[in-house]
Parts: sequence; structure tokens; C-alpha cells
Amino acid sequence: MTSVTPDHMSFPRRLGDGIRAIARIPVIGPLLARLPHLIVVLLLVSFCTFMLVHISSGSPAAAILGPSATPEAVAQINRELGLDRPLLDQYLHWMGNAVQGDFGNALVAPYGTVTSRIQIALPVTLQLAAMALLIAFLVAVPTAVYAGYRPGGKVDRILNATSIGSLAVPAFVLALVLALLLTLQVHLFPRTGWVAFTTDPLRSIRSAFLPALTLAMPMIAYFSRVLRAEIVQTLQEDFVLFARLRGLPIRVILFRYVLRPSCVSLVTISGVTLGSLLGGTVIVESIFALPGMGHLLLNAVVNSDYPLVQGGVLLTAVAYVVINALVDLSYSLIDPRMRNA
Amino acid sequence: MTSTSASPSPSASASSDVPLLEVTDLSTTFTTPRGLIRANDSVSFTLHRGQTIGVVGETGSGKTVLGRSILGVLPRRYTTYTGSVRFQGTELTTRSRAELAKLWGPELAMVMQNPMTALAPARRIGQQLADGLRHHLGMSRGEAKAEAVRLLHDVRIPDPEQRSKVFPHQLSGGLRQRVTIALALAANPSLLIADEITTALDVTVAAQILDLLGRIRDEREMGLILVSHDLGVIATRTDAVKVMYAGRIVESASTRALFASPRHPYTEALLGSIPRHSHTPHAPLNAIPGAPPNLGRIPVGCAFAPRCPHAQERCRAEQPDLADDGAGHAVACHFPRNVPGGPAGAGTGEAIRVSSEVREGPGTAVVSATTGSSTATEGGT
Amino acid sequence: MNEHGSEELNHAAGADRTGETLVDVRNLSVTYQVPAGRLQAVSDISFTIEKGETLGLVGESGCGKSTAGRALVCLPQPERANIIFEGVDIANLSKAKLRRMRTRMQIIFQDPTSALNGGRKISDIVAEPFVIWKTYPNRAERKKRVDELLNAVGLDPEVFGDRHAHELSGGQCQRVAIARALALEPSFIVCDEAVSALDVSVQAQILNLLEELKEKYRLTLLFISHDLSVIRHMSDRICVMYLGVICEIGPRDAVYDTPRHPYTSALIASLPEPDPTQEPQRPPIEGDLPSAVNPPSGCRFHTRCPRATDVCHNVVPPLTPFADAEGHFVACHHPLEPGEKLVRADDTARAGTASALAQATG
Repeated sequence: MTSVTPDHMSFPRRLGDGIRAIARIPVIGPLLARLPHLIVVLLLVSFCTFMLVHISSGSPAAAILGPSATPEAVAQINRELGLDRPLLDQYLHWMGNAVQGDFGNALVAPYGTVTSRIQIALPVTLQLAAMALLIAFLVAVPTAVYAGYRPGGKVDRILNATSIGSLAVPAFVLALVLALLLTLQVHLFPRTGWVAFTTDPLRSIRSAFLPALTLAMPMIAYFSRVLRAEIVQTLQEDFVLFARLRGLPIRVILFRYVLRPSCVSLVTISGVTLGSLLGGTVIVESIFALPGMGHLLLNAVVNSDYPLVQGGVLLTAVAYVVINALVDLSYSLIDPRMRNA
Repeated sequence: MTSTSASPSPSASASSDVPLLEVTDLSTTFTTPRGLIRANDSVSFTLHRGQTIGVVGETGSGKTVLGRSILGVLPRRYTTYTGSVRFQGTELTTRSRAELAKLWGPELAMVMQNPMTALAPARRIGQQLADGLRHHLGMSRGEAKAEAVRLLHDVRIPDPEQRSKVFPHQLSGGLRQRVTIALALAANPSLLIADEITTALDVTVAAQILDLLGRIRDEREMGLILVSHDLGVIATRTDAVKVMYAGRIVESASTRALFASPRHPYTEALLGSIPRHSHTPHAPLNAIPGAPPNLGRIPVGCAFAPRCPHAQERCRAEQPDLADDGAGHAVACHFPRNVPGGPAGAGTGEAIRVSSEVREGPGTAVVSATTGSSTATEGGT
Repeated sequence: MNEHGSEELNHAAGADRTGETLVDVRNLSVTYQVPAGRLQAVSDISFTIEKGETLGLVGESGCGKSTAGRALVCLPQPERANIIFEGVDIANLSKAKLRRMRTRMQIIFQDPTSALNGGRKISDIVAEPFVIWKTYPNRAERKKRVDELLNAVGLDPEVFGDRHAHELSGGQCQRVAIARALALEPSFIVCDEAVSALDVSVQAQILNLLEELKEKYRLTLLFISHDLSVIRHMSDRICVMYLGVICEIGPRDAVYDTPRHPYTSALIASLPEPDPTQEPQRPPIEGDLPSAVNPPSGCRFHTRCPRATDVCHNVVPPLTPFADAEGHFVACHHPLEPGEKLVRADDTARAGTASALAQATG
């Protein structure tokens, strides 16, 4: 995390002018207006994270030294880590470093700084999340639009049945079935292993496809049901009838007139979903042996590697807050009537 | 676009003796969980190019359904049409939805009551106009954009270039209704159905919209069906009027004849129930007792009989047919009022029975003789 | 409009009429906070209503007529105004005292179906005020009074008493609302677009009923409507509002037959009389109503007025008395002569060139 200044008005004049110019761009203006609010939320979140981890994790010294450690050695470690100081002191110290991007060092092998460990795990999770979301949209949006256009029709009934099914099946079962079907039978995708995007984009996408699909399946079901319901409602509106009576093709009406005002719930839930994906998806990462955030955090918790847990949880929280802010702002893009409000 | 020419619609060069629209015995029935609802019952009328027909009625009279039945836009699954709607000589009721959709825009158009809800909220005015132009007239993006601005100018929207770039909610009610008119007329239709288009507007704005619509009709030689509950609007803006009650046309005449001598007791009472300029303030209005019937529960016999001060036994048993007097003034009543040659009231019962029985055939001479005076007064239209 | 104007107004009204003043509104302003800014729905208006008369309040959407009507019965209590009702300034009354005064004034709204609780029995709806005020503790007496009221509004208590509001038509619901308004024997009723949602044939029934009840119960009415023909029918005096201010107020016939304010004239001309022998006139004014959040300077009507000049841009016209009728006040810099028609701006130009042409050739 880079440093943030609480109020852009306190910038030197020239910089302030620049920011004001940027602020005039739609979306960025409201985002800046929200900045103070965001910072307060993030401070609260970071404090809670700190306290929670502090209370719930076991003794870090024990984790480092093993069960046979002497009390002197534990005290020694605690002193080195600053754990003997008052809590508030510890928090401020940690926060001060965190703001500069320094979350401390991992306590357990393979060690390294928390930042470097996250830097390795985060791109994996980001790519997975992005691909899962993309797959979900690509399948859910057309399905929902068609099902909503003909409620009770064939597509609608199939959607209804399969969505209940895929929401009911646990992720790991789905993952195993997909793996079985697509890798062992068809050999279309590698079953496990990860290729970084920067190394070979194409192979990277192939390696991420199965886990992304596993993540996307319940999202498809969820998204399409929510969107379908709103499409059905929007289609009752006068403006749809009027557009039909102007002779516009139904394809134009559905995708240019109906889809956008029907997206409010979809955007809301996809924001929440994306947030939870960034926190890592432990089961999918385990099954497909992916070095993502879920994997990283799970190990950190198991090993009482508290700096790593703190860093990971804070990052996830930040992601949630930022995504939510973006979702709020996107409402005015979806419905121009909200822009003046 | 080719779809227009591919459709079997008759060419614009159809001779003038073929009416623009000919509705014959049109009935529209909805299938609902509570049973059948006959929203339109045996509706017939003819509309020529450049003519305006007013359809007047209260809640549940079926006037809005009539407009939508003509266009064939009601949900097919619950709707049954019988009778015929001929547009420039070709039958519409037997057309598939897809075939009808090709006529929507370039041939048939509609403007709806509420301009606040008729425009897509998340699309700019100009884009909405351009969508139709590109589809129907095959224009390029740039051409459509320029044409959209021209259309906005046509409906007298000030500063059309700027206005084409705004969203509907940024316009006032009057401007929005102008935009819906521009949208409906973009592909040059020959029939426009205007359904209560001024009801949601303020009076000074409504007057401007009606003025605009009248001028556009004259410029383009369109046929116009003006649906309204407002007798003032109907009286001043139409050539002929159909009065609807409980799904049926109960009286049909030229506008002047209808307002000069309303023959159906309902029409007469309706005119008496509005405080006109000639009415003494505070003096009791000629109110009609009761309320319009629910279309699902239309009484037997004449639907107006329970509210009619002149109703007799026959009215409660037998539904009167719409009978023309030979001079274009038709009424569906056993005991019509204000018929020339007889005073209003029970005394005219005899004469009327003749006119309702002579629909096809020998009595025509009698009827035309009795209506000579009314024909003379209609000369102006 | 200002203190001076209001005094003059009171004086004029008092001199003309024998009746005493029931409601005296002085300097009423109502402001709302809306997303786009502060909206002054009513700007410093003053008028009086005499005992036993019907004052018609007419104007288009956003003119403040409904806001003014609600403020008169303190919904909500307006700030910094004086509303003297039966000798008491209700705008500056404590909540408890105001509650007591509320029995004397009632309001009837536009949408009768939403104003009544659809699930309740009609007799319970009408009896509600008695329960709240504990007026008829005796059950039999209360029922007798409810039946009286239902009869008075033309509903047979035997038939309708046990029905629920959602089973009734719009006109019947409005009758129930009127019965409930009459329950506590008020002296003053505000009818806020009370017939606007009804069908024409039903509207006439309710108008007749209101006239009848007004006689019977010696009521004073403030009748608010956008429909000038209904206003003319119901009122003794007419008050025309535009964007929060009064343009013209006076006796019915003076305002309706010889309107002096261009806006009143335009309003009358825009109203089509159901008479096909009259040629439809071109509307004398163009454009839509400006936003009330940012009302035009000077005379608020100047943006649409064909007679507007520089003075209209800059100076707010005061409400001034006219000699043609007692109590006829007009706020206009260029009032019409009696009988003069408002002419469209482009028509005046055309007429000008035509006459110039005629002069040149003749």
C-alpha cells in the first residue's frame, strides 16, 4: 500500500489543480469525494484485523521455537518481535510500517517478507478471480436475458433446474467432477500445476481454466437468477412496449434498452463475490494445487505466522472496501438518473 | 431497410378509395385466471388518410385496448382477436407477430400516455432516435445522428443538437412528450395512435402538444386516432368521434353532430357532467349515478342500463346494436335521445325502434327522411 | 405579497364582503430541501378566506398550490408565517394546542384509495376520529353518528358499513374520505385535487356532493385543482398561482371572464371547451414551466410571457388592486385590458408586419 493523504485540498497548489482537473472526470470526482470516508473505514478495519489476529493466533514464539522452548527463549523472541510492548504501541508500529508497504517478515519457512510472499500469491488469485468472473458473465448474461425474455420457456426451465443443482453441489465435488471429465477423459487442460501469466499467457490461461470454471459455476447460477428476475421486471416497463412499437428488433431492445437498467443487483452481487474471491478460495486452490492467497493464508494460520495472517487479512479487507466503493459508483453509470442525486 | 419492402404491406400508392384503416367487428378477449374478459366487443370503424378519429371513454371502456388491438401488440398468450383489422387493404389480425413488427414504425405507430416512462432511462435521446432510423431506414451511424437532430427540430425542441445528447430524465415533461412523438414518427408511419398523450401534462403544455400533433398530421397526411377521456380535447381536435362504454362503441358520429345532438344517454350525460363555460357555477351538474362497470362483470342487456335514467325493461334484457341512421350518426340504444323529428325522451322510442331494425334494407328511406336536418348541420365537416 | 400588499388585500376583502374572515394567511413561505438545492415551493404569499365561501386555488404542476393547501392545515406547520384561523394563529401554536385545532380543519386528498387503509371496514374508517378523540364513548351512539355521516355522503350504511375499502370504486372511496373528514364537524376543509383521479361521470357526483355538504354543514372550502373549469364551477373567488407566487386573485367572474394576468389568460385559452364549432386556438404561450429550484428573476412568468419587457426581467410585480371588481388583485407590469386576448409573440410580429405592409401599399 502506498501512502494516502487524507485531504486533497492540502496539496501544494499546482498538484491540487491537477487533482481538481482529474476530479472533473466522471467517476473519479465522486471517488475522491469518498476518500476521507474510505480512509476511516480502512483504519477501523486494520485495527480490528490487528486485534483479531492478536487474540486468536497462538503464541508466535512457540510456532518459531517448537513445543520444547524454554520460557527464557520465548521471552527473548517476544522481545525481538516487540510483542512485550503495549498493544496500541504494537498497532501503531505495525500500521506505520504497513502504510509504507512493510508488513514485517514471515515467521515460518519459506520466510521472506510478507510483502514478497503476497506478491507471489496475489497474481494467481487475481487471475483466477478475473477469469472466473469473466466466464460467469459470458454465460450468465445471455442466458439470463433470454430466460427473462421468455419466462417459463425452455431456456428458463433449464436455467432453473441447473442453477438449483449447481448451487447445491459443493465446490470440491464440482472441481473433482470437472477435473475428471475435462482432464482425464479429454486431456484438454492440465489437471494441476500453475504457469504464471508473465511466463506464458496462453499456457497460463489453460492452467487456470479449470479452477476458474469451478469457481464460476455457482456464480453463473447465482448471477443468472438475479439478472433474470430483474430483466423480467424491466420488460414490463412502458418504454419496452414503446420500443417494440417503434419496430426495433428484440435483440436491440434486450441488449441496449433492457440490460443496462436491469444490472443493479448483478453489479452488487458480483462486487461481493469478487471480494470473497480475492480472499482466496482455499478448497479450489488445494484441489488444483495453486499457490494463491487461499493457500498462503491457510498455511499462515496453521503455522501461527501472525504477520502473514495480518497482512493477508488487511489486504482482503482493503480489496472489499475498494470494490464496494466502485460498485456504489457504478450505479450512476448504470442508471443516469442517479447521477444528480 | 429491406424488411419493409419485403413485407406484404401495400405500397403507399394505394388508391384513395381504399381506407387507411378498416376495423370490422373487432372483439378482443383476455383469458385470465378469473375467466374471460371481453375488453373490446364488435368494434367497427373506418379511418382515412389525413383524418382524426377521437375515441372517448372512461376507465374500463376499452379505449386503450382498442389501440393496442389494432396494432396487435397485446400479449398473444392471453389474447384472442375476432373480426378484422384491414390496414390499407390488408388484414392484420392473421399476421404473425414478426410480420406485424415490420409494420411497427414505418406504417403503424403509437404515442403513450406517460412520457416519463415511455423513454428508455439509460439511453441518450439521440441514440434512441438513431436506433430506429438505422433499423428502418438503413442509415449509417453518422446519418442517423444528423437525422435524429433534424427530427427533434421538427417537433420544435429548442436547441436540438444539445438536447440529442441528454438522457430522458434531464428533460421536462412537455419536451419528453415531444421526444416520444419524434420517436414514433421517425420512420414516417401512416397511422398514429395517440393514447391519452396529454393526460400527464399541464394544460398550457398539453395545448402545445396537441397543436404540434395536428400540424404534423396535416403535413404528413397521416391518419390519427386520438384516444382521450377529455371531451374538450376530443371536441376541438377530431373529425369524428367514437364513444366507448364497457368495451363497445355506443355512439359514433362526426364530431360536430355528436356534440350538437348526442343520441346515446351516456354521451348526453357525459357532456352534462362536465362544468362547461355555459354552465352556471355552483348549480348541480348532471352527474351519472354509479360507476363504469368492471369489464369482467358487464351487465346483461345494455351495459349502461343500470346507470341510465331512461332505461326500461328491454334495456336490461336485450343488448342494442350500433345502428346507423344513414347519415353517419350511429347509436347503440333502444331509446336514443335528440333524434330529429321527435322530442327527446320516451316518445322517441317508436322512431328509434325503426332505426335499429332497418340496418340492412327497406326502412332506409324512412330513416334518411327523419335525419335530413342533422345531415344539414353536419355539412361543415 | 409583501406586508403592504397583504394588508391592502385584507382591507379590500373586508370592505367588499359582509362575511367575516375565517382564514387569514400572511407571508406564507414553504421551502423544501431537494438534491438539486433549496426549493421554495411557496414564496411569501398572503390571502384570506371568508367564512362560508369557496376559494379556488388553480395552477399547473409545481406552482405550489398543494403545498400551500397543506401548509394551511399545518401539514407541516409552516415557519415564520401567520395563519390566523378562527382568530388563532395556528402557525405559531404549540403541538398540543394545534392538535386541538385540527378537529376544526380537515383535508381531502387526490388519491382516495391510498388515503384509506384498504383492509379496514368502512364504518371503522369513518369512526376512527371518534375513537381518537373519544367523542362518542357509547357504542350505539357512535354507530348512529357513523350511519348519519355515511348517509350524508350518499352511501347506504347497511350496504357499505361492513365492506372493506379495497372493495370500493374510486368515487365511493372519495365519499368515505369525505365522511371521515366531516366526522368532527370541521368549519374548514381543504380539497386537494379531490376529484382529479376520478372519471368524468363520477367527478360530477363528488362535486355535487361537496356543494350539497357545504350548504348543509356551513363549510368553508379551499378547493385546489389544476382544472380551471372545475375551479370556476366550485369557487366564489379564484386564486391563480405560478411557481410559488400568486399571479391573480379575485371574484370568480372577474378572474375568469376578464383575466388581467397574461398567465391566467393563457391558462383559460389552453383549456379546450367541449365545443367543436370553436376553432382550436394556437396555444398563446410556448415552453414548459421553469424549475422551481431556480425560479426566473423579476416576474416569474416573464420567460414564457409574450408581453414581457425589461422591467419584467428585473422587478417583481406587486399584487395590486384593480378597479373592475372589488378584491381583484393582479401581479403584472403589463396587465391585459378587460376583454383583451393574449396574443402569441410570433403573431404580434406577423400582425405588425402585416399592418406595416397595409400602410405601405394603402
